Amino acid sequence: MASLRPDGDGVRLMLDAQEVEVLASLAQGLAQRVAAVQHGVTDDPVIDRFAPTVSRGDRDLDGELRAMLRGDLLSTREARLSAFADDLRAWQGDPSGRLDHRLDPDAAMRAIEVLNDLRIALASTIGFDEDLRQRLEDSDPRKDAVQLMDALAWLQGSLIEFLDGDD
Amino acid sequence: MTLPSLSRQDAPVLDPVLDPFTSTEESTHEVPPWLVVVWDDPVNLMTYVTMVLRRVFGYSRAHAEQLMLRVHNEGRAVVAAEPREQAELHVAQLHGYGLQATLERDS
Repeated sequence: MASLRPDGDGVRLMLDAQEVEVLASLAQGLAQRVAAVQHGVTDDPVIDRFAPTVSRGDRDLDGELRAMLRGDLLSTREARLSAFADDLRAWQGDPSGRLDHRLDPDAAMRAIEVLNDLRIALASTIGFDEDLRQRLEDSDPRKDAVQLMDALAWLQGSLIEFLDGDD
Repeated sequence: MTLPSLSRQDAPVLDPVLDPFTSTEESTHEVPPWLVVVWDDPVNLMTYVTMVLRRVFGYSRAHAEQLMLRVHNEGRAVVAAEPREQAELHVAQLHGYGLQATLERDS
């Protein structure tokens, strides 16, 4: 099970092999999804959420600025998601597949950003909102996605606490 | 020591310093600020929003938390009022972090 502990100005991240594989696969898959549509028009809700509305009251301004910002927003995400997946697999080292690696503050920040990207992608895919939890039946396939979002939120929140907890 | 009184005529002529809060009637040089607005969403953690506001704007923890709570409780909060170019840059940075942020002209 994932665990964290402080290590100097950084944090030591410990994951079992299955957790590494889930995280790396999610990040790699999302990187490929972003790369595939980066230069094309899409109605993918995940991509729309990554390059969202810039102005809610001025359609011309919104169109102009979204077009200007979209490429950078998507290429930056693709790069950090892909790098995170590569890093996780490189950090395993141990034949058992377990990961025990110290993240310096920059690496911890990158992990926090990637975990947020993954949670946004899951939420956008299933149409997550505040009330969805109460509406979900046990048989609803979206329940697994919500549980995964919660697990990622725990990891992200813990990293934030280590990185941003004290002044 | 008593300072000599200066009549308006005696006052040195200085370049006018623009006060950002001077009304347009008083100064034609003022550039109306643009507002950077952050919207509530069901995904971003409250601690994450606070951390991002601190990183992007350099706000104190107390100020960033106050803004985050306004976003959470009221659905949106103006997090900065600044010239358009800077506001665009900040909106782009906030989008990079995954926050829902928009730009609007101050009315």
